[in-house]
This record gives sequence, C-alpha cells and structure tokens, in this order.
Amino acid sequence: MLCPRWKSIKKNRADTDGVKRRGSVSVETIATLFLLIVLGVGIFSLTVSSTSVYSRIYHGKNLQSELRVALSFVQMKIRQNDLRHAIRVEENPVNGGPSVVIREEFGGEVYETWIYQDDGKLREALVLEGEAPSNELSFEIADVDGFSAVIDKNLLNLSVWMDQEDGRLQMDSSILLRTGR
Amino acid sequence: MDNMGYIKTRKGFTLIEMIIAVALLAVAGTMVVRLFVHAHVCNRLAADIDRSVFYGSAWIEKIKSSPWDWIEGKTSTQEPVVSASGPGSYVVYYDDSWQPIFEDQAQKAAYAMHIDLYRISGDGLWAIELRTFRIKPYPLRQKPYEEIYALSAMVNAIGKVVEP
Repeated sequence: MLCPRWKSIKKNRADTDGVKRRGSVSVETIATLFLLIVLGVGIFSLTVSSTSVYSRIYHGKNLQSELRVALSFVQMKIRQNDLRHAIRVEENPVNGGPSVVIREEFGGEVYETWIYQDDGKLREALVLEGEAPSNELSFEIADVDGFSAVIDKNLLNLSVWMDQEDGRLQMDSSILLRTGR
Repeated sequence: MDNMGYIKTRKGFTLIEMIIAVALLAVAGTMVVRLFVHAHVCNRLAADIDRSVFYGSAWIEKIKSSPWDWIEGKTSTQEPVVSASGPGSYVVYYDDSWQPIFEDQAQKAAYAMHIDLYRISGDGLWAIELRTFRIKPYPLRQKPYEEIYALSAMVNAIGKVVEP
C-alpha cells in the first residue's frame, strides 16, 4: 500500500524516464541551447574582430607599399640616369613643391623628366627641355600626400609621406650621386 | 529494450555530444588561428627584411657621402636619430611602423639598426656592417632581439682608387 504522495513521485519519474510530459523542457535542452548561443556569440565576435584587424593590417600594408613603390621608382630613375649634370632638384611649376628633374637626350632632342607630387599622387612628366610639366602630361606613379627632395653636396635625400588620422607615415631614402652634380 | 526505444525516439543532441563537438571545434579553431598568426608573422618578417634592406642601403649611401664624419664620430653632422654606441658604432631605433625615433624614446622601439665601421687596410678601405634586429619577439616566437638582416659594404674613405 503506497501513500498518494509517493505514487505521484513515481508517476513523475515514469514520465521523465519514458514519455515526456507536454509543456515541459529538460535542463539538458536548455544547457545545449545556451551552449549553442555562447558558441554563436563567440564565433560572431571573433569574426568581427578578425575582420577589423585584417582590414587594418591590409590598409597599413597598402600605404607602406605605395610609399615603397614611389621611392623605389625615383631611385631606379636616378640610378638609370646618374650622369654629370643630368639630375637636379628644383621647384615644379605646377604647385611650387620640390621636384627631381632628370635631363635626357633622345635623337638629338633634350627632354626632361619631372618627378613631383600634386593632387595626392607622385607624378612623372616627360617634356621637352624648357617646357613646363603639367598634370595632364604626367603619369601617376603612386598615391602619396607629400614629397620632398633635397640635394646635400652629392647626396640626394628623398622623402615621401601619407597623412593619417593618427599621424604621418613617412619613408625616407638617400642616394649618393656617383657623378656628383 | 526500453533504452533502445528511448534512443530511437529522442530528437536533438545531448549535452555531452555538444560539449564534445564544441571541444573539437575549439581545437580546430585554435589550429586555424595559429596558422593565421603564423602567416601574419611570415608576412611581417618579409616586410621587415624588405625595410631593413631599404633603410640599410640608404644609411650606407649616407656613410659613403661623408665617411670621415662617421669614422671620427662627428655626430653633429649626422642625423639626430643616430646614437653613437662606441667609436665607429652607431644605433638607429625605429618604431613599429619603421619610423626612426630618438634614443631617449628607445623603450618604444621595435627595431634597432646597428651600424659598425672598421678599418680593413691602411689604404683607407673601411667596412660598413649593418645589422637590423627586431627588439620585441614576433608573435608565437620567444626570441627577443632577433636578427632580421645583415648588410655589409666597403667604403674608400680617402677617395682615391686603391690598387689591388
């Protein structure tokens, strides 16, 4: 003879062991769902932070690459044309900034290559000697916000930079002119 | 038999199954993240080698333009970012984005470029040895002050052609 209370507990146990009662949710289901939610939130936040880190790294590398390309181009041009009196630094007529001018001779005609910065680009313009360069006649070399060129004795110091929100990203280089000036 | 029936009729995953799945996912995720970091470090190392060669070449050009200033340690004629660490020995510090920094900010430096000049012969030939180090270790590497690259060049300090 069982008391009514004990009968009720046994009935509940039978319900949970076999057929579930309608409307009830087991702790296991809630824990599983909770774990899934935690996992989902974790993966989502990891993806968002990874994307932001990756894009920041990519942006930084891109800027550095632009500066590197700009300086390498100028260096290469100077190495190719390092002849006596062939390289000089002077103000460009476009915006008054510094420019590297390389004098070359093709088929009896004297040409000048002007390398200068204007409108967020480092530019190269090939014009006849005595003519003024212009943006319409120029090729874009790379994206740079500033360019400086100074000749100290026979050492040509070059700088290119990009202005950023958190400061200036600058790259410098020096080339010793083998032929002097 | 009752248990078999229970297994056949129940739906979804148990907590244990979920924990095992999450653990496996975590292990796989950790390996992927490690791979990503390793790729990033390799990329960084390649960029650092490029930078050390680029800036090192520029310093060699500067030394060649006025070798005696560097040999005699006339620091006034050199750039302010160069700090002398001994006769004919100099250090240039760079921050994490390869911007040169002054010696008093050396604790912020991520890279150090050591420049050493030493005489090879009495004919005025000097050797320039330039070694670049990463001060802080790269991620997943425990080696501080790791050498990135070494450059060397010779300079004829007297400016005359040296007979072989």
